Amino acid sequence: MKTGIYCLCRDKETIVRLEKETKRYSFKDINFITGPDYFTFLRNIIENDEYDYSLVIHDDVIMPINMLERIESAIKKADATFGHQKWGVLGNAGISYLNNEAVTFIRDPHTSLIPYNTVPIPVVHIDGNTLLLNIKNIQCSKVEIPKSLTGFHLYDFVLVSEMYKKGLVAAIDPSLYVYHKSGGNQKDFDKVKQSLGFTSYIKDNYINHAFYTINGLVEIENDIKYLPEPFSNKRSDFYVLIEKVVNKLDFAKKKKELVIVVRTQLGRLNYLKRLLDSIKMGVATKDNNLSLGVVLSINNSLLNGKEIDDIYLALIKEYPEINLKLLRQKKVEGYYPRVTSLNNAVEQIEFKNDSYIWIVDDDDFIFPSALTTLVPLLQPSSIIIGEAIRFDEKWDSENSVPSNSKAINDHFNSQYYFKNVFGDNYVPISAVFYPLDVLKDILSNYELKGDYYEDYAIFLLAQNLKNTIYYPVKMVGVSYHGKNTVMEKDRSHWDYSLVTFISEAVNKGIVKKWVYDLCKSREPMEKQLIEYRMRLQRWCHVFKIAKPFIKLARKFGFLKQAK
Amino acid sequence: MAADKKIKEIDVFCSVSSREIEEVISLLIPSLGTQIDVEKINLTLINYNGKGRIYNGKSKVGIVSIREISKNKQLGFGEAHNFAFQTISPDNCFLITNPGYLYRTCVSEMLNALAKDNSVGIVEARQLPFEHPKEYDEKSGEAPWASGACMMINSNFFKKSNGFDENFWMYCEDVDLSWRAWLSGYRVIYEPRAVFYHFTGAYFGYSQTRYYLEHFWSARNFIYLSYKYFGEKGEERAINLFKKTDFSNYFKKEVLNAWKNLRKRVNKFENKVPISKLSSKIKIVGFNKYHENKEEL
Repeated sequence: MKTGIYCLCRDKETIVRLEKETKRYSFKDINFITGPDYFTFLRNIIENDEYDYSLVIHDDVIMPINMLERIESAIKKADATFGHQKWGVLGNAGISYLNNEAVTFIRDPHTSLIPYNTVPIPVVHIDGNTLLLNIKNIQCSKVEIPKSLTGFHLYDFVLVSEMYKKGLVAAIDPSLYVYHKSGGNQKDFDKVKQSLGFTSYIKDNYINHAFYTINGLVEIENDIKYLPEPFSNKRSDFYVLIEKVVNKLDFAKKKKELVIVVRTQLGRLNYLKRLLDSIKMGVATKDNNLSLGVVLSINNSLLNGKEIDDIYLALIKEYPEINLKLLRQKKVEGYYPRVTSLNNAVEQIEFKNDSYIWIVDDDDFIFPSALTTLVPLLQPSSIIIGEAIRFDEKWDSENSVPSNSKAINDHFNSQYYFKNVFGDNYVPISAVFYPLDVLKDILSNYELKGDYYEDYAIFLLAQNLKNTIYYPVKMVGVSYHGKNTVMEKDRSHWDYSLVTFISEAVNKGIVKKWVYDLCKSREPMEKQLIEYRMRLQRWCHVFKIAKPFIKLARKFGFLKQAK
Repeated sequence: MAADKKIKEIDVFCSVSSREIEEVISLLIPSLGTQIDVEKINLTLINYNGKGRIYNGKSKVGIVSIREISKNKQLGFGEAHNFAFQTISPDNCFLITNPGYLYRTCVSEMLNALAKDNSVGIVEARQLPFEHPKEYDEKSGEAPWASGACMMINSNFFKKSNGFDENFWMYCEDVDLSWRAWLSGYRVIYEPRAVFYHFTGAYFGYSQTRYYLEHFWSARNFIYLSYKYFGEKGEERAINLFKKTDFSNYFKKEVLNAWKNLRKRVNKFENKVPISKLSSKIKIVGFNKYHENKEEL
């Protein structure tokens, strides 16, 4: 494996200084170059390079002394995750393909947080400070940097775009962690993003008018000819192009197993059938690489064995599309049938390796988008969270649809999952895909004595075992219909459960001291936020009463509409 | 049509291209197959792209018979369904649906609502998982307009009214058809017991980084609809409302150009009933908003 390192320097003095500096730390054969702009510099490397891989860095990048080992590790990780022939460039900072958020495995004037470890993450934009080019793949795929473009900005965007056009993925990985001494020049960047060269490049290739970059959202005045003249457009949607490439990567194409464990007493069949209907819709549209099983895990049912059998047989007949299994509750210890039903499921179901478990209650329902969008992205060893939308519902018939359903605005927002550490639950159990080994580990190594807040406890304990990845994809609908356990007036079950779970978490050392200290420093801010929200809620009904009067006042011109 | 008897046969139209055919095969056809109280469903797939065949599956799946028609040219939503109506000539009524999933009682509930009396022109199904917040009268089911995502139409009314206005191309032609129903003495009914699962782009797919056909056509057609029913004043108000939206200036410019082109070849709607008499039904309460919100009433 031949690897070269290139550094484009601003002047000859810098080259002299850097040659001296890098030699001190045993970096040999770095190609220091000055003169060309970044587009030309990259074009020359891509067209003429004889290395297998080339690391291209800015002249203000400080590499770790063992950078060559890190490069080797990055290559191995990318090969294993994406497939050797499927990646074009690796970097250390960019906009994650998963949720369009900036992820930075660097230290720079904007970032000093020590990042976490992960597998390489596909990106929609990469920061140009450090680029590891897979030269052989790039040359084989005939990636070209357009000659019409010059300068020192947005070459990284164009590089990523050209990679995806040729079917190669761009990704970032913590192996390429560096210290980037400059934070970039935002003013110059803003000028270049509106330049004729760049906007023409976008207009020739894409229909989008907004692009996520590490320097912020780039908006351009694209043309919209594809809208009045439907079906005749040859340009692509940049993000759909990327999605197509990512869905062909090895990790996306790998066969996966997902088992939906439905906790049910079989006492409210119309809710359960709504869930099964939603699963049926998911099965119809799911990815072919997904093997999906559904297990009805009986949870403290009041029905006898025959009644349970009869219902199960009727459901199998009604839902032939679903691979439906029944799991009777083995035994119930104390007051924790819900946890026991999970234990039963994990102990008794025959899983394959790398299985994921999705635990839902029978009054939840799933969104098919969870199976079409999330499943291809399942990565080994990660806990996956999506969005849970709460619905205020009325059920007044035996039909398996609510007679009234309204989405409540304040849904569970997956990106705030970490707030669990402040003692409140932010993640319903049905909004998580757990790797099987995580659940097994938790259920066998921790004493889950309690039955309410078990979703909170499991999620909290899981944080110690794997990284969590959140996706802003609608995953599950959680129904509020007056008969939920969350609406029970007697809170004693909840209180005893919560204190028992947290006591277990505390005594098993879930939170490390430094995490505790970090969170402690944030706690006053969190409290302020909660108080602010409560104050708003207090005023809510006043606003409700005032609303028709405000409407009337606006109608008759006494009050102007706020812009 | 008898409300409580098993329905012998119903025609269903779905305009579709190769992009949506998978959803038709995996969701729509199986869900039509589970409809209760219906003996036979004739599904007509209208290939709106006009090129080749897009459906290569079985011509009969359970109670559903499937055929594909095309006109060898691209068709807008209204033109596609007018073409299907002329080709098939459904007797009493027909169902228009997007590729989605109809709950097992959907067709029979819509038929029951339509069969209540001959004055019902259109019946709209309730969309889930995200219910439309549109106002409707809970007793009579009367609603200002019905969405073309899943609507059942009285054939007599459709014939008398010459079907959809093809000038719309796509989006808002359903509002126009509903308003013409009200003006010609027919009623538009929302039937919440008929449920249609519709995973719309607005809730499940639209990215903030680009414009979609819906943005463009619903904006242009909002102005057209306003002009058609409310004349120059309506047009002026619609343009002002559109200009106040968050769309970018270049998008607004393109939409207004498209409207100018359409304006040259369209006329105001000549209605016999004064719109003011139907102001609770035919109304524009904001940009692209033709109803009050249920919760706000």
